[in-house]
Amino acid sequence: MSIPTDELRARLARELDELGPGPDLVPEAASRGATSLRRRRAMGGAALAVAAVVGGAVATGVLAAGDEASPTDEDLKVADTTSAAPAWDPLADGHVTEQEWERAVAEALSAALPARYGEVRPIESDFDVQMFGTSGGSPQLQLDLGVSGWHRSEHPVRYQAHSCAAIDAARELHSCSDLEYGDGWFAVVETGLMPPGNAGPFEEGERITIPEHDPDNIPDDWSFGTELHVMNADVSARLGFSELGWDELSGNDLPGITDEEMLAVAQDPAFLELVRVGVQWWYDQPPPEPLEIDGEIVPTLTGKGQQVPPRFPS
Amino acid sequence: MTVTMGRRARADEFTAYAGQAQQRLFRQAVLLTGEAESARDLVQATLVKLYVAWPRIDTPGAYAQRTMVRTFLDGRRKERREAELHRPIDPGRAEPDPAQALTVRQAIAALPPRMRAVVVLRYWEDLTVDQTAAALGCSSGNVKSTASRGLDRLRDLLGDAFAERTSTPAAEELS
Repeated sequence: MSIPTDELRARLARELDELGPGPDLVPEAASRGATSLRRRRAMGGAALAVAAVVGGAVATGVLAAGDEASPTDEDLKVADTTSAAPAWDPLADGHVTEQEWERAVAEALSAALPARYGEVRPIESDFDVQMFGTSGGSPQLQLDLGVSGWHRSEHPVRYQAHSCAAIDAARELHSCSDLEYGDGWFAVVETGLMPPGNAGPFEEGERITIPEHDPDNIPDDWSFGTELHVMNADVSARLGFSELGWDELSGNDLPGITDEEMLAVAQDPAFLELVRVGVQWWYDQPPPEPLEIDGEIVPTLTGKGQQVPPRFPS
Repeated sequence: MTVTMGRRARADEFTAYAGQAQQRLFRQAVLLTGEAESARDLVQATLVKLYVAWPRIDTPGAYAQRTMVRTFLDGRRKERREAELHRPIDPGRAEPDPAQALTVRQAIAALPPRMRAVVVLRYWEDLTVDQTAAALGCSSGNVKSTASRGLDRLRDLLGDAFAERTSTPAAEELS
């Protein structure tokens, strides 16, 4: 006996007709999709160097608006960066354009990441921030980077907790490693369920238990991720790691780079030079649109919004 | 480099497309999952992904179809992993009673998930072998062999009941 496929299709159509029309799922899908995008923006806000309100407070400075200064070479008191000096200087004219920033990120991360990841390049993404991808690695990495230059005195909440012990006291982590490496610089690598924005290691928060990843039930504004935070008294940088192509509907697979490798990135002269460029890039950006998260407008600030201009520590 | 699209424009375009496509997607989902409730969830997950990816989609129909079948197969893999702990209620996975004549839907629901996906895409959605292979991320040869075995299995499941109810000549026959 043969199965006539036209008849198969006709029979199926008749059977499905008996089922009647399905429910209207479009409004709910649009709502959930919009929520998903807001989470992306919240996460991506970090890469925009958005100073989201951390702990409900935005510090304000007192310097006159005209009293501006840009980061200078001598401000960077860390490991020798001369070996990593780029052949071109993105800060040659004192400002950083988007093109210069993308090139600086691509070159610095290509140099600082383990060799198996190959080249780092900007990638197309529907996140509202610039994402980068690696040409190598299994899996390849998707990266987003944000740098900001708030003074500790202006934004004390931001620096309340900078160790794994402090973070773990606030919320449960999958893994965490931290390192101090001189002149006030320290790095934290964490994997876990992250709050929105770049407040992850710094925010006082209710201790939570990381749930099994469920794409249909993602906690509002939170997302599972792996992040490297590098900071000193005046500068903080956040580098997010995920598998290339990851979105918040993906699973919780770890990106495959070890804590030790991420801490090595934190100490790489090329990366620290990139942070210096990033502070100026952050300061040169126009203020972004306010973030709307679940109907609430979350204030956002770039360097333009702060009273005290960015600087590297003396 | 970042793809941006106005929130309103995205919502409007998505709503217009999804509104006219969702019934077709629902039918396909019923065939994949075997029952309406899971089909609803599958369509919902597909539409959410469609919304998120909307600005970078050139052909929404193909994207939705590919996303739906892969989401379905991903879900089945997860179910298998959890099978030791849970036994989800899923009529679509029940073994058919040979004493009762099956509907075609029931017979398709009795196929293994990947074979079911091939049969649905090939013989319900009428995709070509290459289109089916692209949707599933496998080779054309794999689609051909799986489709052939799927029809064999349907023939075994439906047996004479299908032939007796068939009244129109077939334009295409595969055995």
